[in-house]
Amino acid sequence: MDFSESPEHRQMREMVRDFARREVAPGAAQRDQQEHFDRTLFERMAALGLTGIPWSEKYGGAGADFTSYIIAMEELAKVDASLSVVLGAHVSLCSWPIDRFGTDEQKERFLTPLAEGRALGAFALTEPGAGSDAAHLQTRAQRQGDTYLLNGQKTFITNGGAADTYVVFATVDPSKGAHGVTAFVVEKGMPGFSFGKEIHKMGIRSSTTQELLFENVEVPIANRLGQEGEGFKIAMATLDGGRNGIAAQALGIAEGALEAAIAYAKQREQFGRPIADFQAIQFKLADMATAIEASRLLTYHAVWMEDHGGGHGMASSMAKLFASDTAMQVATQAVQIFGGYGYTVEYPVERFMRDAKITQIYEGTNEIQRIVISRALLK
Amino acid sequence: MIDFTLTPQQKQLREMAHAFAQGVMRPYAMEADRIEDAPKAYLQQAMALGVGLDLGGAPGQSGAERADDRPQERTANRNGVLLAEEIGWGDPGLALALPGPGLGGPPVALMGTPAQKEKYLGMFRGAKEPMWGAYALTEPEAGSDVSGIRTSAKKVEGGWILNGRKIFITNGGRAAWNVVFATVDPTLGRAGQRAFLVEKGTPGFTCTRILHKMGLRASETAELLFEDCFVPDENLLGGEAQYQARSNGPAGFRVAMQTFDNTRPVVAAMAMGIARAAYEYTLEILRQGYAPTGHFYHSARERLAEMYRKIEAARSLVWEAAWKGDIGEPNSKEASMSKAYAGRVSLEVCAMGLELLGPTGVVDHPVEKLYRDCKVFDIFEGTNQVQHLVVARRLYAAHGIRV
Ligand SMILES: Cc1cc2nc3c(=O)[nH]c(=O)nc-3n(C[C@H](O)[C@H](O)[C@H](O)COP(=O)(O)OP(=O)(O)OC[C@H]3O[C@@H](n4cnc5c(N)ncnc54)[C@H](O)[C@@H]3O)c2cc1C
Ligand SMILES: Cc1cc2nc3c(=O)[nH]c(=O)nc-3n(C[C@H](O)[C@H](O)[C@H](O)COP(=O)(O)OP(=O)(O)OC[C@H]3O[C@@H](n4cnc5c(N)ncnc54)[C@H](O)[C@@H]3O)c2cc1C
Repeated sequence: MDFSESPEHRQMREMVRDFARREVAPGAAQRDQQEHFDRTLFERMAALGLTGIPWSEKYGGAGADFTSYIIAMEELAKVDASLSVVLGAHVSLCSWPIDRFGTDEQKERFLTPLAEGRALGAFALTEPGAGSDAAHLQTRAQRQGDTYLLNGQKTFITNGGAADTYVVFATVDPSKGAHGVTAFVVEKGMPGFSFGKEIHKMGIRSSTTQELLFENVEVPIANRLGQEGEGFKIAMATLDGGRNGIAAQALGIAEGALEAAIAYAKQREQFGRPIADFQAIQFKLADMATAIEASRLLTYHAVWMEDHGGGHGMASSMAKLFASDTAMQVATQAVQIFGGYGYTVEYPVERFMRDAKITQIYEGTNEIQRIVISRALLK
Repeated sequence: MIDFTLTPQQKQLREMAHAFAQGVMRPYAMEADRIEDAPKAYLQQAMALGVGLDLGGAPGQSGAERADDRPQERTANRNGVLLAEEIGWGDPGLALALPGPGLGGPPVALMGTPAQKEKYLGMFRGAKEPMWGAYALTEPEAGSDVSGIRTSAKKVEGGWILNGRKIFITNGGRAAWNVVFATVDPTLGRAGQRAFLVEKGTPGFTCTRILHKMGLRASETAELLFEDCFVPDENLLGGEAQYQARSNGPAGFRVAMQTFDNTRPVVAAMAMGIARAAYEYTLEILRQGYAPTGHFYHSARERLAEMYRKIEAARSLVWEAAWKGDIGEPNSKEASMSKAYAGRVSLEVCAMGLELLGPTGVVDHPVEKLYRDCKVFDIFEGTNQVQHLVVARRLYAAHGIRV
């Protein structure tokens, strides 16, 4: 067992941290208030090689491991959870299934521009009537010769509208349930593919979340990922890895909140001394740090498994469940430590608190994680 | 005897408040959050119906009628919490935006001279335009530590000169008057404190900014600045003699604290109203969306029961604190317990609601807003930690232990 960070990992952390502090942090509050997704930040991430960290150099990636990607997610989330969501959807939800299930030709066509950051990616599974219960999605894919006709609607799609490349799940036969689900790569601009309502959210407000509308969209067979009926498996496998990303994001939010709370507690004086002198505050900080450390271990263990042969499904669920609950608690306590100031938009902790909530919900709500974990235990 | 039944008048009061909350407050709640203000139409409707806010007593009949001190069986505290729960249920931001003396009411009613009560509470009687009173205690460097305020009051011919800054003052900018706490000499601690009635437009008094907040956005939270602000002698709350009577401890500070004994249960009741609203919204959506069978409904049912239990427990604490206040028993401990508990419960219940609702809850949904609103109930009127300090002091004082 070895808990030290390799030189490459340390380098990645320092590089992303530097970028995050210098270029991402300064505008984060304003972007949040204006609900503004800033594409130039994505382009900066592309320039730094963050948009394709775990993919082979052959396809424009950095050829690094998933741990490196998780480090980037964590460091970004410490200052701006929204940007980490943008990267998370791009890398683990959109690029990952293409890398894993795509043909060489598909990888060249779709993965390379994604990895190089020339295209922004999104993942479209959720529908108004099918969230946690993804097997019963309604979007139809009807085979017509060499193409599929896609009809239906997706909702809550991160990077929706802004993204160029969408991994979309549709069913070739609703009566088959999960066995009918099939994955496709749909590109922005395809006739019949449009965007619906933009969704206003409590947190991660500077990442876009939008509805997608498919009206007789002709998708060539060359854009199908895997075989007909393999889509559900692809979606679930994608979410297993994606959960590590959410765990890292939650970890980063919690760390950002703790860091802010410690600095504030040392500097804020009441009753003639820093509030950090009060045991009520000290114990809060101790509990926050302990939960964060546990989240960190769960998260890095899960991604270590992913890097070393897989089988990380349950570990990822545990990491996501625990780290997101921790983020919520830690951010809420950070607001408390800031007192009235924490409630204003002048300090980042209220944003951390709003951002933390979604980590308990997406990529499988925490209830779904509990189902995954308990099923594995009771098998 | 223990009796939780409400009198017919109390029932009626509650029904009226509920109808107002549902019919007038709720329709404006989401818009008010968006525009970070109370819509004019809302304020006008409240005025037309004669609904105002006086946190010392019953919102509904703004404090003016208590200007004379008729002896009678007091029910003001109990009525106050019943009404506060309903308007908190309606919308907490809009509740605090209701015209009336608000937090400023209790100190004037408790300590004001007859002339001050007549002038500053009486002005709300039959008012045509919305008007507010406010309570300005907190300063940038003095939040929990209320004895550490630095706003200075210097005696001059015919009055006082105030200098200093106040922050987080609810309705402070728009208020017709603020009760402003200041000190004649910081080294005297609490004994040096005085409270002044400062009218809007007094030279040297300005509202420097309105704070943007995570929640409770319909309610104005102001920063105030006093620069050589002259306040005449007659605006020293209660008159100087009040501050010289030391037998019961320093008056200025005592007023500040007594105010809290009255207002904390009311604030707690609002927090509980928020929790009840979140619970009801959650229940409604679950009823629509899920068959009452199956695994999910099973785990949800347990959650719903827990939410409900917490709300009921909070209500018991709130009612007890209010009852003690009405019968004239010391109720600081109960007031603090109710506030600490209800503030926490409201956050927990809203969080559970969001959890059950999943994504529906976090996008443009009232529960999302309530979750952002309720966090401050853990902070203002004394943070959760400060409530615990108050409670601990009362508990240990009996054993001669100072904490
Ligand atoms: C900001 C945001 C970004 C998102 N980004 C994407 C994206 O990029 N791509 C994408 O495809 N989706 C995305 N989603 C969708 C998200 O992954 C789903 O919302 C989530 O999986 C839950 O589905 P649902 O909304 O239908 O909720 P529901 O499935 O309706 O769940 C509602 C509640 O019921 C609970 N529940 C459901 N079933 C059970 C059960 N069997 N036992 C116990 N509890 C249960 C859930 O835990 C939840 O609390 C995003 C959502 C949001 C809010
Ligand atoms: C929306 C809003 C409306 C408000 N309205 C009003 C108003 O109308 N009038 C008014 O006068 N004020 C008002 N306030 C101010 C409010 O009462 C203060 O914010 C509150 O008292 C806390 O003070 P602070 O913000 O300075 O926090 P601090 O006192 O700096 O507290 C910071 C943290 O330290 C903790 N802490 C402090 N001392 C101790 C201790 N001894 N032991 C353990 N922990 C401690 C606190 O619990 C908190 O967690 C309002 C605030 C808000 C946010």
